[in-house]
Amino acid sequence: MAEITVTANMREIEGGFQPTMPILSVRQVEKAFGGRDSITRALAGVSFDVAPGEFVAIMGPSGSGKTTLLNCVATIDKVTSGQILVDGHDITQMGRRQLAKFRRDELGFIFQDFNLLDTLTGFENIALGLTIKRVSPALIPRKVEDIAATLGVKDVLRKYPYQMSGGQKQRIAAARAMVSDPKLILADEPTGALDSRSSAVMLEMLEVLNENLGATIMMVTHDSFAASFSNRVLFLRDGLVFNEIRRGTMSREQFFARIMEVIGFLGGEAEHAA
Amino acid sequence: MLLKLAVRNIRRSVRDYLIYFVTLLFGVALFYTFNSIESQQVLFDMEETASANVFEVTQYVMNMFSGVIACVLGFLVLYSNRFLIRRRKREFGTYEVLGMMPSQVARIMLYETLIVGVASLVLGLLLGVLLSQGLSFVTGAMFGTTIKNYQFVFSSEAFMLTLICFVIIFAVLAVFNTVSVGRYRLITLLQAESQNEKAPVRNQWACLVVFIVSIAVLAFAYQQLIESGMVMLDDPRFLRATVAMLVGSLLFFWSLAGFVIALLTRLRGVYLRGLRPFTVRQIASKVNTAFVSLWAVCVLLFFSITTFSVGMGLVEVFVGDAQKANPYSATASSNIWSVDLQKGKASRAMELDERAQTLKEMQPALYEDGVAHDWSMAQKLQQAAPELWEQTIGSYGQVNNYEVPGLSMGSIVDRVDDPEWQKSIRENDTIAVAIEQNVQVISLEEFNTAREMQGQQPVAIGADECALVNNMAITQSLTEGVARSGAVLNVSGADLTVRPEIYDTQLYDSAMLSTAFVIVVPDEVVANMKAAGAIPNTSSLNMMYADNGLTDAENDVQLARIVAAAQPVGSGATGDRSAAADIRYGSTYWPVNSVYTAHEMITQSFGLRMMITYLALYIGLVFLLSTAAILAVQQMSETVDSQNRYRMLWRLGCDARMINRSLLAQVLVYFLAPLGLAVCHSACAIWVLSNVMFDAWGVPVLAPILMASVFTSVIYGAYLLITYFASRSVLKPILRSA
Ligand SMILES: Nc1ncnc2c1ncn2[C@@H]1O[C@H](COP(=O)(O)OP(=O)(O)OP(=O)(O)O)[C@@H](O)[C@H]1O
Ligand SMILES: [Mg+2]
Repeated sequence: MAEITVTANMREIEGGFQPTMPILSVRQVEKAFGGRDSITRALAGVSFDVAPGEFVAIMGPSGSGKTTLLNCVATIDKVTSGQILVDGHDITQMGRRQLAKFRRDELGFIFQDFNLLDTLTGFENIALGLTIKRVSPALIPRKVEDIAATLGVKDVLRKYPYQMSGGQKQRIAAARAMVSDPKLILADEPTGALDSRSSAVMLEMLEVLNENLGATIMMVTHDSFAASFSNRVLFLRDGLVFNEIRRGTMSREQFFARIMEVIGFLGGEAEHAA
Repeated sequence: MLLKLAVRNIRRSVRDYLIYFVTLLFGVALFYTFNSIESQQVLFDMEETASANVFEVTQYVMNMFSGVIACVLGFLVLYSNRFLIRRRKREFGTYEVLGMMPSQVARIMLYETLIVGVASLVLGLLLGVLLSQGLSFVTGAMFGTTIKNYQFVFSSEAFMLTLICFVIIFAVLAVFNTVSVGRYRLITLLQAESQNEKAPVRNQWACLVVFIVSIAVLAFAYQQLIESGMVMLDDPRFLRATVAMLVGSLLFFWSLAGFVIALLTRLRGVYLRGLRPFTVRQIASKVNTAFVSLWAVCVLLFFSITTFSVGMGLVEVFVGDAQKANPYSATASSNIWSVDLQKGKASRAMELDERAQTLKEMQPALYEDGVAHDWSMAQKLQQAAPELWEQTIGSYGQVNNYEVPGLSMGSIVDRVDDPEWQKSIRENDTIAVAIEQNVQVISLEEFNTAREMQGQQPVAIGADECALVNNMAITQSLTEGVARSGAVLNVSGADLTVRPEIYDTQLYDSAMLSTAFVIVVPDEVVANMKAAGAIPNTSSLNMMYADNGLTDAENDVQLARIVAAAQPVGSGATGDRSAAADIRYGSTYWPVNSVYTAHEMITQSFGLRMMITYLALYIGLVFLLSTAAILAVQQMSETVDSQNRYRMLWRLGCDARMINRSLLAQVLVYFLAPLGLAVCHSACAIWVLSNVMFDAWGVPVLAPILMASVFTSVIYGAYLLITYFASRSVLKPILRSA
């Protein structure tokens, strides 16, 4: 099983990426929740790098710290210790206003829970991603309609979230994350509420963003099919990066099979442990 | 243990308690202040009962209103308290999860209520005591005096009343809290923070239509109001205006948000900037759910602004000129040609001796008496009590009004060559009543005596001239027109040219400036009229008290004794009048049937002014306080309920500044929308009233309007800022990173 455990220093030899400076570098990040009596170590020293233009999927059992990791990168949560470098800047040391600006200008999010503002229509929810960046109002309707068309939610733009299906909400949220062409897109279960067809559309969309627009994507998912769209899959368990596999030159189907294989192995091991 | 927890809770959520605390504080302070007015009288020279009465009556009226005010304040306290419970449902839930009994949780709440209540009661009473000191200086200013022997005033009655009233309110509150906290199910307590019910979204087209309809209805209301002139409150147009205003305002708030959204979403250049879409939607959803409260607030504000401004304006109408209207120490008047005698007689005399003949027939004794004294009231009074007269009266002068047969006001108006002016005079309802009456003249000599008594320069007119005297706003335009025209008036055979000047001399003491179009003629003209058998229609004996070391009030008593000596009750000699039975002396047609003294009139007007002013202040301030507190509580609840939305914005990269600006915009719009509409309504009502009433009485309404706006800005401003800062602090933990 040696070939499955790929360490960071082997990456340059094996991977198809240029040895450029990583856009995202997570170093020894720990995150503990709770007070004096009961401490949960959600992250127990996670380290990895993401190169510019990479599409990384993060998998792992429920409670393994995936959302926590994503939130730390998104600067929504503060790390307990360790560093997170984005473009060489340590975001764990930034001031509040700098962080807000960073999120606004560099990041696009798709959250696992409450994604949309319930008082705003679909159009306004998507447009908000642009207005808070002070994009010229004249450009906004066009951009919003284009992205909504791509994600197949053009006909719900006038609806309010409570009038939308779960999948439509998810896609509107994705549209908002993508509409401002962010450097780094963070997605927590973006296909969680979608049927297979919509999932495929969403994932292809992410793939297009990644390949054509050079967006770096970090996506948390339970779904091996979704993970197979990525370049690399990180496996998290008990707050640690447990394993990592790369797509390299594999086709998507081959990569999918590979992921399934690893999951099977992890599942088996888990059973052994239990 | 529970007490400690309560103290800690209050300290932790000081800002949440702020609105509740401030409302209670102001409420207690106002309540004490306006119930302590009576105790102010120790500051003023109150050696006689008339002025002490002023304070008693004012206090009585204040106490009557205090019942209503107490209910309003009680409601407010319960209302703000509801917000506190709502905000802390989750916390209570946690306590119960930790194993506390619901009764213990209710006890914590009770302690908290008590601590905050006692604190605000104590501080409020302190503030009230301070305020009432300030108010006594206002009273002094109204009185036209300064306080010489200032002393600290504390009213134990007001103190007790305030204490009792608020203890009752707290008791009700405690019961209410215990019941409501005990009644919550644990699960609802814990779920309190999960999203609120979905905001109603209204059809844009419906909103557009309803909005236009509401504007039309309001325009109709304004038009009806302007037409009705607000003279008669049972005018159907006034009723229609009221109903239309209420309905129009309700429709306005129902459709406002929808309309604004329909408009803004089409103006994308304005709408799609920064957090604007969020801010606008946030306000819209709040306005849509709370449109009934906004409506009620608007109506209350309208009433309080209007009653305040109009009330203060009315004070000016009634008492504004009290000093100017009472230039003499006292005036004794005699309606020789009185209402009783007019029964069945022509209202216009056609012959010079017509009045004399009637009087001779009906009251021969009186007629003889009058002729014997040549109608000199002073002579008659002086004879009756020569020593008292000598001691009391320093100087005097009588003004006799003679009716000019055949010379009516209308006929003079016809003689003026100015059709537009004539039309405006004819259309004036107040003047129309008197326009066919004969005019009255006084002699130049008497006029100049009256002027001298009040320090005015004497007037000279030629033998074939006459001059006009007027100081009433209602008849000002009439007088000006006649004076301008230089018309020639035939006064009992003498052709007199009207001089262009108008004199504003007050010819007798009265409640208000009351010289209405009086003509001053040369002495010979009057002498000729008398020679032809004319008697005065009315006479006024103006007196200035001698410098005898007595106070005005004491001199008033002396004067009353002089008058009583001249016409003792039941003397019958000069004919008793049943209508005057309640007057201190047996009043007759002559020599005296009423006495006005400057001291009495000014004291009365002061009392009226104090009562109306304080009532307007009390009610106006409490209403303002209530509406501001209601808006503040609603806006705070909205922020608390929207925490998840702000968390979302924060995640998307909105920093504290953007969010705070949105918050400020929301608070501003929410406070200013009902105020704006109320100000429009009030402006219309005040404009109508000032056109119809205040202009007629020559009273400027600017001062009360300014005062109303100062109070509104201060109270509203205070609540607006508190709401803004408290809302900010609600969001602070969210913006400080999760
Ligand atoms: N705010 C919090 N306070 C305390 N513990 C937390 C908090 N958020 C997460 N945790 C704990 O941290 C651990 C990791 O949670 P996380 O949400 O990252 O899991 P996840 O991998 O996203 O799971 P899932 O796949 O179910 O979404 C869990 O044990 C969770 O209970
Ligand atoms: Mg998760």
